[in-house]
Amino acid sequence: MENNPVIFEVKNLVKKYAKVHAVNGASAAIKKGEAVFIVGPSGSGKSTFLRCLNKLEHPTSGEILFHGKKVSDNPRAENHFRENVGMVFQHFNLFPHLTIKENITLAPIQTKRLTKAEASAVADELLARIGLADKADAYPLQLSGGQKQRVAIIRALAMKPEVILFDEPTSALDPEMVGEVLSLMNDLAKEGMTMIVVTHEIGFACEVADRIIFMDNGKIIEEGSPVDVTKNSQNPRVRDFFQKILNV
Amino acid sequence: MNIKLILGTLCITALTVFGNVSKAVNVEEAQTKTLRMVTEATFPPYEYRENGRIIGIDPDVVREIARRNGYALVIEDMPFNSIIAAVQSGKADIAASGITITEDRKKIVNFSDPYITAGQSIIISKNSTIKSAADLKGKRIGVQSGTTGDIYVAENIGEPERFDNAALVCAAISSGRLDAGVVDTAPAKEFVKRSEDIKMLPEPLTSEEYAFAINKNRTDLLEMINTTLVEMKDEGLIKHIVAKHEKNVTKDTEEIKETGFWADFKDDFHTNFVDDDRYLYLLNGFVKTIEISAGAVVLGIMIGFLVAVIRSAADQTGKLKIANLICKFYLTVIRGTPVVVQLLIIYFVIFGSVDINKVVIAIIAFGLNSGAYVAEIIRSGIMSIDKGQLEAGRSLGLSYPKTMILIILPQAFKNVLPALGNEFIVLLKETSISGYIALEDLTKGGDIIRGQTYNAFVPLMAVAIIYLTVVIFLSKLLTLLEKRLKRNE
Repeated sequence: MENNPVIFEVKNLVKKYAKVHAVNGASAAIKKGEAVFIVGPSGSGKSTFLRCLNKLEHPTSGEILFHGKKVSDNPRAENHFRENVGMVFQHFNLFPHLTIKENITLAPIQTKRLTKAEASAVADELLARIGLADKADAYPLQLSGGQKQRVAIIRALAMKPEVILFDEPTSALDPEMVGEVLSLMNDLAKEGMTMIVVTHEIGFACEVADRIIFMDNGKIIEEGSPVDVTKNSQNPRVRDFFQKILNV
Repeated sequence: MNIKLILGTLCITALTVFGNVSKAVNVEEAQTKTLRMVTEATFPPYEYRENGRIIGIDPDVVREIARRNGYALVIEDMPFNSIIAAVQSGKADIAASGITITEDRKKIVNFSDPYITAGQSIIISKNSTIKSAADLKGKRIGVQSGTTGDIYVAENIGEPERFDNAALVCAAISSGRLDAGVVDTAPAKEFVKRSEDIKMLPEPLTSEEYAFAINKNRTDLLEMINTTLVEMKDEGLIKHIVAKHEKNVTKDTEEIKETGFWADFKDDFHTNFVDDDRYLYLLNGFVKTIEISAGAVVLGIMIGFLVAVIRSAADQTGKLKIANLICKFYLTVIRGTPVVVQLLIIYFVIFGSVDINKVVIAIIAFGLNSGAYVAEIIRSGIMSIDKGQLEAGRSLGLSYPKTMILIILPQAFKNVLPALGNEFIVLLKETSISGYIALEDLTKGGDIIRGQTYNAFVPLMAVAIIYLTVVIFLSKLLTLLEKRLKRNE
């Protein structure tokens, strides 16, 4: 992993809303095959940081390099860039008017990444993998939360992206459904998918993450292996946070 | 696909739709010399309808003028208060509708030499106490809007109640809604003959001369008409035509009287719909109403979607600023003015000098109008869709237009379908003002029958029932569509 190429390089990222600095000078580098988990208290700018990575938010200042190059603001270039950067949302955001299979095949076909036949085959394969082959023709409203989020994950996978961003993927789920989603994410990490995950599931992060980034007040204040960040941090703010969470 | 491409596609679709219609018009234009005459055909014996055709003294005189000079004649029926404007704007070459020469009218159109001397007479109910013009002060007086009777009463007696045609004035007198009416003498005689309830004062209120109104720029026509009028007067032809129609109208009256009063509905039905094939007015009117409504719905949806998407895109992305401004201007103007005014402006001003099928003009007017409301309905639908849907689409690499078309609009459309359905129902009924530009739609068809049979109830009920049936059918269709779109819930 040490020698893997850097996919994302973030330099001094700032995102300012009306008056609030959501992200206030954050720098990081994400390498191919890494599973990076971003943790921190609510309102620390984790999600905004993540949403800047695929340009859902446009940074106020700072630079984001993808494979060493700045992504142009030209819409076509942005769209092409996003094809390579999948995203999974807290609220799944499946398309309710389309069947599960159409949800998965829509983007690959429309962006011409896959032909119709290829997309259909990929969708079948991915659905079989998560055990939902029988739901191909169902609509999102007929699925449970856990099923929806797993479909959302394979919808992102169907584009064969280089990296997938997860924005609190389990926060909107009933507790008994969290496991199935985390297990799928764990599988992806093991297969070497590059993942950047914003989560409150600290236990899961410790288990799966190659690296944990800790954010507070829009800044990255600690970064390192799970053990280093959760157990050995010198930063009192970080120590305090993990003590409270891990001792519950 | 980007916004420009969608714009282009919509324009091409619109052009194809209207292209086909205007082609049909061009074929008619191919006939070289056409004289376009406008009249309000509820003014017997000058102009009235028989078996659906517009006949009378004016049509006969003008037809003879046209024939002698090698023109084909086209006659259009429109409200009297629009016909001078139609000539002025070039929509018609000549207005022949028992028009009295007045100073104000002379300012905007040329008048031919007078071909007949006539006047305005006072009509009152059989048991009225009004004896002469002097008794009219302070009474409820009805006139036909825009006529010399209207002008005379307004200037000399008091503000009159203005009706679309003289038949309605007489109907209002019989039903006691008016104390008196001021109507041109010749038709007044006919109305009095046809109704048991009204009579005419022997002394005419005014004396005046009828002439044809011609566009100021068409001095060639003016000379031609005056020369031919002299010929026809010398030959005694005009007198002959007048006598023929006065007799014809009287004969009609007698026929009606022979059969007596229509006591029961069956007889009423027969007079209003079967005699002279009058149901054809409703049938043809119905077809026109449906044509106009369907065309306007299609145009309205296209404009509505386009404007809604531009407005939403401008709000969400901060781009398309100029297009957004144009859309806002369009919405403000259309929603801020009455549809009747828009229709008249489009007909008389925008397409004033172009000869386009009136159905197309109505489709454009109602489509433009409906588009503004559809736009706001669809925009509210777009705003009702969770922001996450847009983000999910964009995060998968779909462009903004594709996300809009494939993800947002289908959901938005489903959410606003009831409101859209309501808009289309309103639109269908709004087309009932098409009569203002002389389109014989369903409502105008009912008016024509009423003008002939002097029966307000039966034709109005028939028209109402037809509209109601269409609306019920439309509502059912919308319910089915809603159910279909709900299959994913």
